[in-house]
Amino acid sequence: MIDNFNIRDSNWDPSIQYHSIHMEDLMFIADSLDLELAMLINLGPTRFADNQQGFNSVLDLVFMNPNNSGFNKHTLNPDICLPSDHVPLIIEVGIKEENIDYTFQAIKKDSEEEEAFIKDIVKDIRNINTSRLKNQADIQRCTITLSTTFKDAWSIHSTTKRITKHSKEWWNKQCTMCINKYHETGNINSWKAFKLVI
Amino acid sequence: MNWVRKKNLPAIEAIYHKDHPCNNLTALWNALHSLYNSAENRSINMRLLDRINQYDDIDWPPFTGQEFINAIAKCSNTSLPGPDHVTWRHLKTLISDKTCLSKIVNITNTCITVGYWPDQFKESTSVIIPKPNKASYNIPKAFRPIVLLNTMDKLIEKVISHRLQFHLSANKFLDPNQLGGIRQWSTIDAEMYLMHLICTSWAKECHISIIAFDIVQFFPLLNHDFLHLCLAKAGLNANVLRFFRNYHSNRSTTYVWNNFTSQKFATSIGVG
Repeated sequence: MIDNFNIRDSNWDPSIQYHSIHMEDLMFIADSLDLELAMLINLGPTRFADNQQGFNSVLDLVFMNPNNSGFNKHTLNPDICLPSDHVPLIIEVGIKEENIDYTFQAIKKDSEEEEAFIKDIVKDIRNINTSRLKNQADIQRCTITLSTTFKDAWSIHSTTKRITKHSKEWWNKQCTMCINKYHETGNINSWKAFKLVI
Repeated sequence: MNWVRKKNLPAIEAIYHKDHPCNNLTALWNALHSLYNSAENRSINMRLLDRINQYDDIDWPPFTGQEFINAIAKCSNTSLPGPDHVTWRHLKTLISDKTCLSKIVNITNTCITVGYWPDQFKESTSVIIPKPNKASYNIPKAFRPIVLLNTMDKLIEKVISHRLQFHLSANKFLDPNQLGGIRQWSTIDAEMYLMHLICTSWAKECHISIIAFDIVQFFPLLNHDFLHLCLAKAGLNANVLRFFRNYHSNRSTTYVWNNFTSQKFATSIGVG
């Protein structure tokens, strides 16, 4: 939980001598989310005053789960704040490889695998006995066989694909061009052209 | 944000439901479910249907393979597959096999005669997507669900839906002003009818005003008992009525938010 909370408090700003009435609420919310106030490696103000009479202050805070590897490791980088009066906070959040879902199952269109996938389904459905269906249990038996057929055929013929930086994006510039053209013309052919590229 | 682009969920602090932030997934699922089922247990005045006459019994002959072929003919080959990984293109190949087609027709006909809709077809996946151009995305109403069903299930439902619409139209049960969702009628027909009314009024040197209104969440909030009573008025026979009662019972859905999936939630209202 990272934000400019606009709360001045001695808990995080050594130049302040008092506690804010909002501090306890903020700490309570953070605690309810199992988060704790993380401390900067290079302490300093996060917001510069508008004029020379004003005080620089610490307003931008980071709350993290203390078990996270990035806890108490964030830094201030005043060199990249550009025209902003706030200093960017740099934080590295460790994401384990197993938490990134970069694989998926697929069957390529018009491939031999797809042909075999359909062939298996057709073969299994042909074998379902539907000649003496009389009651709910019979229907249930058939539909269980149907869903098992689809499931088994998919698990046999689908292959694991990896998402890489070279993978085709779901939406690309051509899609944007085609949908814009359709919006401009309202023409059915433009719509068909759009459907072909997505 | 646009309806047809990829739907990345917007970065937001938290979804607020009943003035409380949803700080965990359980709270989020409960907030979404209570919104989409807000009419659950709402009492309905069934006497509204008293003014509708009881129509003659409709003969419901068994389905034929041709009805399945007609129903699937217009389905897009480029549509994404359902949760069963089967696309319309796959199903078209599948039902081009006469033996397969006859098995599916048999199962469907038995569903009607027994008055039963299988449990596997009663489960859906509701993917939550943001509505475009909302000022704020911190309330559940800024999102809507897209309900995904297995493709085989959708094909059978299409066939039943076409048949139901045919009978209701043939029996003149549908109101002539009902233009939405009816085959061979479109928005253009509604516009032409409206233009006709306007021009007729002008010809009589009258002023005309139009009041347009929208019924919020009409289909998701439809009461099943009301619907069944309506179908009974239309003259559907006991088997078909029993089928629709079973079709609407014990349904459940699983909500999907980004990569997170909820447990099953029972859905006792709404269609589609």
